[in-house]
Amino acid sequence: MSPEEFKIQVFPLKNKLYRLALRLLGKVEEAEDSVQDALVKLWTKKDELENFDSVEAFAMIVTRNLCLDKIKSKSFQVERLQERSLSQAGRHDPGELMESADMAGLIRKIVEDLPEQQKSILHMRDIEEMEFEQIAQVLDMNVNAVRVNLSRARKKVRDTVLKIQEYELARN
Amino acid sequence: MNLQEIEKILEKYYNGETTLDEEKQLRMFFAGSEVPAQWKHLAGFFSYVGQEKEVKIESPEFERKFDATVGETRLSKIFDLRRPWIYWMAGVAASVLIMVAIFVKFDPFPGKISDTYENPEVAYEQAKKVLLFVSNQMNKGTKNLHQIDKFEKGLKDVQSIASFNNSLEGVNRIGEMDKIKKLISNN
Repeated sequence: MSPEEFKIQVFPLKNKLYRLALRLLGKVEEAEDSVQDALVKLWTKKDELENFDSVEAFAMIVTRNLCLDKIKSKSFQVERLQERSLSQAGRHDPGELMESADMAGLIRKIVEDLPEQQKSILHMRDIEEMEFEQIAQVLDMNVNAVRVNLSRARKKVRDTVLKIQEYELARN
Repeated sequence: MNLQEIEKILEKYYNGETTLDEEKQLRMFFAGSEVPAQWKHLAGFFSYVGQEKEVKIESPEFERKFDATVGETRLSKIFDLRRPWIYWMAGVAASVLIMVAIFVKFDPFPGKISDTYENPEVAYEQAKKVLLFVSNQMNKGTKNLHQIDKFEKGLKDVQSIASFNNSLEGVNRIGEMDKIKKLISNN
């Protein structure tokens, strides 16, 4: 792939890759850095990119792997712990979010807490509208396993919201 | 679309069995104003999905940063000594130099060069003109050589290898320890 083709076919994936990175890392700067790294990595491999049936799927694999490496790194985990303890100090309780009708904000928190794989699948399907085959390719799973995990993720989000709603009703 | 149909699609949705098209229908329905109270959380979910779809890279510097990084790797690739064509070019350049040297030194066309000007002053003026022209062209050529500055920047990084030596000295001391140990055991 020539530099020009790369700029037309691969570089514009940046926002899609960024959304995935942001979903996984939760931080704007870290996500942007990861996409930057992923694009540079893809650039160095641009001569081989034509061999992939889906450059997009490959780009997502590269991005996801970089994000997972970052999550595993010690410095990232320490930072996350610090942030957690900070946010807990000034935490809104979920009920309050409900009252302020910020349902989308509450959903965001619930999705954040999903296991990584379920989060990735829910993201690729519901936000990026990807076909099951492509999601399966990115995660190196079979289509059926993708469906099962997607079902779990969707139900988990629903059940958590309903539980909070119930709790709210009981309290009032 | 009536609520029963929506309910049917929702059941499939929660089993991970909906098509992309059916999911689109859900998004459209839940973006509307006639969402029953028991599905309010779904309106919230699809509104979250809609917000997330719009998320884009915020940094205005993103593309420039990428171009800069990629530009550097490109330059270092051109001068990569592992590339065979570098040796080809060096070979070609060397042969051209040798040819020029032979021409200058041995003049393969003897007798061809003779005085063409009667008046030495006119000849001098003409020579000066030619030399000035050559010098101008040379200056144009050397402008491109400023790129070599970039090379020097790269070399600075290589110099940090020197700090390796310091650590190596430390390692050498371990060798001395061994000698001392031997001495002790000999005694």
